[in-house]
Amino acid sequence: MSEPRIKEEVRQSIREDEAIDDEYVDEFIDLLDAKYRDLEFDDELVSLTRMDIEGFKVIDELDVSISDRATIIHGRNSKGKSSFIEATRFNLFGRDNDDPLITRPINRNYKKLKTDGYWRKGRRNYLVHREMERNQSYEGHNKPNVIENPEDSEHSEAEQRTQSEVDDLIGITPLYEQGFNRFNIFSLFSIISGDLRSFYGWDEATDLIDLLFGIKLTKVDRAIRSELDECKLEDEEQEAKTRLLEYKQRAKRINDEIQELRQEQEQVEDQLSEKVERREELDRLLDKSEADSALSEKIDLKDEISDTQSRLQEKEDEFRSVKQEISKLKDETATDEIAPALQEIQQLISLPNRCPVCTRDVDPEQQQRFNDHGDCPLCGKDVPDDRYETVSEVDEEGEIMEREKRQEELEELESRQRTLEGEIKFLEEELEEKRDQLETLKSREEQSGFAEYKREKEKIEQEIENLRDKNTSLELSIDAKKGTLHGVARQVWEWNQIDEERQRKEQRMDALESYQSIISEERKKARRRLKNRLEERMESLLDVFTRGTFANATGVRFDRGDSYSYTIHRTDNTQKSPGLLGQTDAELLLHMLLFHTTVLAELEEERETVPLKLLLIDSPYGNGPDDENAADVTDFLLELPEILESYQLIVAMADSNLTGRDKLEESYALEPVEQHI
Amino acid sequence: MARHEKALLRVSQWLDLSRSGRQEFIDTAQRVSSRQETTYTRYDEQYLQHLQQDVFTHDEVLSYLEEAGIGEDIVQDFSSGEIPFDEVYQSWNEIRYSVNEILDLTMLLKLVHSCSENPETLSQGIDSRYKFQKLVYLVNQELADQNRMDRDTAPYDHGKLEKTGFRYTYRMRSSGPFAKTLEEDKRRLYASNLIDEEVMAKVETPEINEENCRYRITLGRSGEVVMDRFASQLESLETEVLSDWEDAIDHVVLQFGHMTVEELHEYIMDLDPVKEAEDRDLLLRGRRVKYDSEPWITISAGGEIGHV
Repeated sequence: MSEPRIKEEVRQSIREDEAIDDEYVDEFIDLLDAKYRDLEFDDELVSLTRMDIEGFKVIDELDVSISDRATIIHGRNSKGKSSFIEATRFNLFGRDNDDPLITRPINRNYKKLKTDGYWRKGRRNYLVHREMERNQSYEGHNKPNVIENPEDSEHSEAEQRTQSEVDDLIGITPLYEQGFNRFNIFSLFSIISGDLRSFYGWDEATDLIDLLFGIKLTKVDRAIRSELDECKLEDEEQEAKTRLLEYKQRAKRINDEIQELRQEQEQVEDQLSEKVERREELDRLLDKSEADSALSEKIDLKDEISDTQSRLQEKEDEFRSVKQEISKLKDETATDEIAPALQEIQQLISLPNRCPVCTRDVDPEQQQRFNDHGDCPLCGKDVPDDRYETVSEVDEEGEIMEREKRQEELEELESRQRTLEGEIKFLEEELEEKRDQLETLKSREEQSGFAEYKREKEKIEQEIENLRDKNTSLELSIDAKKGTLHGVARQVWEWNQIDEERQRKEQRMDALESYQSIISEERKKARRRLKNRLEERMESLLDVFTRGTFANATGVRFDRGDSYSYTIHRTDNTQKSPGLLGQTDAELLLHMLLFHTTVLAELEEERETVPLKLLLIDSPYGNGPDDENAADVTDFLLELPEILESYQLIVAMADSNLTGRDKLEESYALEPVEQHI
Repeated sequence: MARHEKALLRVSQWLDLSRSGRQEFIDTAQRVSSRQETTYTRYDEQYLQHLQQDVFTHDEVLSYLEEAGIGEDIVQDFSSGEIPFDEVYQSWNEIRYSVNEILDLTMLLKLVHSCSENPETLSQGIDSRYKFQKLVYLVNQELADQNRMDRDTAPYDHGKLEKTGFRYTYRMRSSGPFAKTLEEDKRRLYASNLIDEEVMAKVETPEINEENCRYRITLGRSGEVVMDRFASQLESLETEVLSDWEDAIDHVVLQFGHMTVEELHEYIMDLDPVKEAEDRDLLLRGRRVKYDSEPWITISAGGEIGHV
């Protein structure tokens, strides 16, 4: 199908696809128009002419000129042939931080490593100078210096350029601009034993192959994918739907509460205005009836009552104190009444005359001893001083006067008590009378309605106050709820924004995915065509392999899926596919020689392609003996310059593998490493 | 002879004058004293001072003494006013009781007397120490229960017992309410023949000191004399505090005097405060008020000790 027709068909599909909303159609068609274009590469081919290396891994110093065609760099193990391949890559791209091969890149004898790659592009020569030293970390490797015509001009190695100048030089900028990693791009041009899968196993190798072979839909697809990446939901967007619902429910709840409070408030306000109205009415009624009421008379009476009450209180206090005085005096004289009896008893017990224990009488001698010495007549011991007294005839009758005086006082107090009783009685009567008057006045008021109005007014005022308090507190509650609602509403708004964005993204994602599947359908066809080409090419290359693993190959089949993986079928019905082979497997090396060569050979057919025509092969025989395939590898290496006619081949191998040296010399320039150190 | 002039008699006795000599000395001294235009009615220090300074130093008295053949040194004491009154006048020892104690003792006698007079009581006096203790308790309990003077003067919880009643404090014993100080006062009454305790048949009571036999308490010889003289006075007291007390005694005797020990015990032990009390718990505090006048002192100068 012709290119314009493919494009038109895709356009048509975009318009017709129901899953693609109208709003995206124009954008998608624009995208198609913008991306459905061939990559434009430089026409001028790029090749390596010389590599001058210093302090790179095992290499101290190595300066090798490279011929245009095919070169084999060989030497004993650990002399730097593999390091040469790595140094060439380093010269172009610097240190690959992800590549485990470049550990300890700087030779232990050097403070820094230096590579000078001499490149030719068309008719012009370029020197790419790149060095690296280690301070805190590796430095300098991403600051190459590109010098045009180094032989003619005075140049300073210290001058620093950017990597993009090197990219431009070797013509990979269009690929780099499509988002491919430089090292991965370059891995198509290198088969390095120990790192064989770096192209074949690379996720994006399929895309790269597509683009190199003009499957422009991949360009569109990549753009769609990057759009899809943009549509990927942020964490916040993922939870937006739930959170939005949550906040909406909360807002509704609070709003309902506010409505309830408002209703309550309205009721309170209704009640309040009713009460205020009634109070005004009462005020009018009171004004009218106050004229009728004997208010001043009542006030006077109340004053009088309180005055009488306080007088009564005074009298009662005095009465009490007089009564207490009397009671005290009476107590003091209580015993006077029976004084003779007491006196008699005192005399009778002033000297015991029998013992309550043994009941015997007290002797006269015992009595005498008590009289003379104060000894107890019963037990004979000293009677304590305070228990007995010496009495003389001379003692005087003392208290008669006092008793008489007490009697006088008593009489006086009793007369005062009687007076007070009279006064109190009088005051009580007066009080009673005034209270009666007050009652009469009050009942008159009752009749005039005054009191009733007044009571009602007091009650209503209290109610009004309560209602106002309630209203205020409702107002406060509503305000508080409003504040909360405001905050929640803000959250709703914010989450709504986020959710809208989520919906937009999801919608867009759906559309993009539909777009992608349209592209994918069309691209499948294009890929099938390319795969057919590659199958054909690989099958013809397989003819070279006559003795080893691929000797009985019957055909090659590229997978139907979205990748360029393949399987080699053999006469014994076994299949060989690189997918399952180990990194160091000698058979994988064989596969990669075949695969890379196939792709590069087909690329030669393309009109627009990368100007870098270089294939680096490190240790094509592997690191171990592989007697089974060694002859096939040699045969393939011999064929290679012819297959990849426009390519510059640089093969690094150990002296021990240089078995078919004579044959190889025909096709390759042999450069022993030792000669260039 | 006026009572205060007994002083002259004591001086004449001290001078060892004959009966006629004594009278002559008294007459002389009275004559001199009456000329001084003073009127003494009391036998006290003042009167003695008057005798010493104005009478005994008088020439008439001194010359009488010389004529009567009194020794020179004694006449000298007279003229210098230094008669040793201590030797002249009589003095003796008496066990002292406060008016409060005497009051309790008097009222106890009244209780015993009332029991004896009670027509309901089958026997004379109180038939046991147990009943004696419990009757006194009931008297105080009645006073405590009586309400309660006026609201402004009433004590907060003591009823009339605040002002009147026995001062004995009752605590809970196995026999019921018991006051130790009442037991002591009963001994005092006994020691002075105011009450008698007669041992009765070998029937015990719950009381601690009646475990083997019972004691009937009656008025002693002296007690009977006192009650003969004062019983009627004690029946008709006017002072409120005393008449309340006396009324309570009469009421208790009337109500409980006739009860047997068993009946009384049953009654007492069923009283609320007694029922609820643990051993030695305070049941009832005695009277609080202390009466401080000692009326008998004023009439104690009778010249002779009046033991009955």
